[in-house]
Amino acid sequence: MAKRRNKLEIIYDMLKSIQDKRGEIKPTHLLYKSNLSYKNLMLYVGELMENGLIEEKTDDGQKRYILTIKGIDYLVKYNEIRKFSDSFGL
Amino acid sequence: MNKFMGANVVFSPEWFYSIDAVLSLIGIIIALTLGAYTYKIYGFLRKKKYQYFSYAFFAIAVGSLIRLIMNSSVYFFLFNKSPPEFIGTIAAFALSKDVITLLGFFAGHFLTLLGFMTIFFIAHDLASKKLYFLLAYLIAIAAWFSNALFFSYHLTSAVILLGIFVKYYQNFKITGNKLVVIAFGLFTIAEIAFLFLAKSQEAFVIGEVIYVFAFIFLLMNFFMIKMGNKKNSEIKGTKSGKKKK
Repeated sequence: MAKRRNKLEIIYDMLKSIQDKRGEIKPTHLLYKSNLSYKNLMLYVGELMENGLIEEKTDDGQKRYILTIKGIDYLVKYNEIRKFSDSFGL
Repeated sequence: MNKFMGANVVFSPEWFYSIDAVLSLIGIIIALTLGAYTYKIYGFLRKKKYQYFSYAFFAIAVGSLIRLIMNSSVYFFLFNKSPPEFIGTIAAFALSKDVITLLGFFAGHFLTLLGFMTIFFIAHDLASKKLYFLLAYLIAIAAWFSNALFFSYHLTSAVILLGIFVKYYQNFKITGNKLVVIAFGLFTIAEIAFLFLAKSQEAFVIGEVIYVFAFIFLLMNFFMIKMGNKKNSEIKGTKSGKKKK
């Protein structure tokens, strides 16, 4: 059984999905990549936008989410913590 | 080995007197750095084990500092050295009464052992509070008896550190991270070297040097992660440069 993710891990997975798509992603792709229900995805997206980690843009009627500098900083910080934790088996 | 106000005191070779203090200070600074960083992680993730892990490093730092103060105080007193006024005041207090001297040595040993024992608990993912308090009691006894039997502190440390080393060696086989396993291997070897203090003063020098190298390996691990991540962020930042406002 897969380990239940905590909130910070979900946020990391969402931001990483956007980063892997060269910094911008369609909502449907994000829904698929983040493995969340639509309702939960919207809650998280709202929170991420509120905290300035992602932005929303619309091109030709197509909505996309964009990773901000603050979002990149979050990924960097989270990666650092993960490496440190792994090194001590935490 | 000499008796001083009820505590057993081991002298390092004379040429090593101020060097060992500097080595101890390096270890203390590294332990504080790791403790502060882990506490910062706790602030971010809010997971208890990071909080305890940071307390473990703080306990090692404070324990080492107390041991440094006690050893230096004995050194200043026995060799009639006149330290700077502030240090002299602390040294005078540390040696003002037998009970303070004994408690000082005890606190230094106990806190260091408690720090390593906490790391052992976290590394082995042990969650039993009862077991933690039982072991804390046992290390308190080991720390107290180290006043009379110097051996007991170093033997207890060596056993705990060996336990951490074994766990991190298993972790190394999964993560490939060598630095932490080398660090705890060195800590263990240093404590084994200290077991021979009664036989030779050189054991103290060897132990102290290995001990500080162990801390340096922990610091290297910390910096490698920091530097690696910085490089990574620069690359990723450039890729996503179009997102900058």
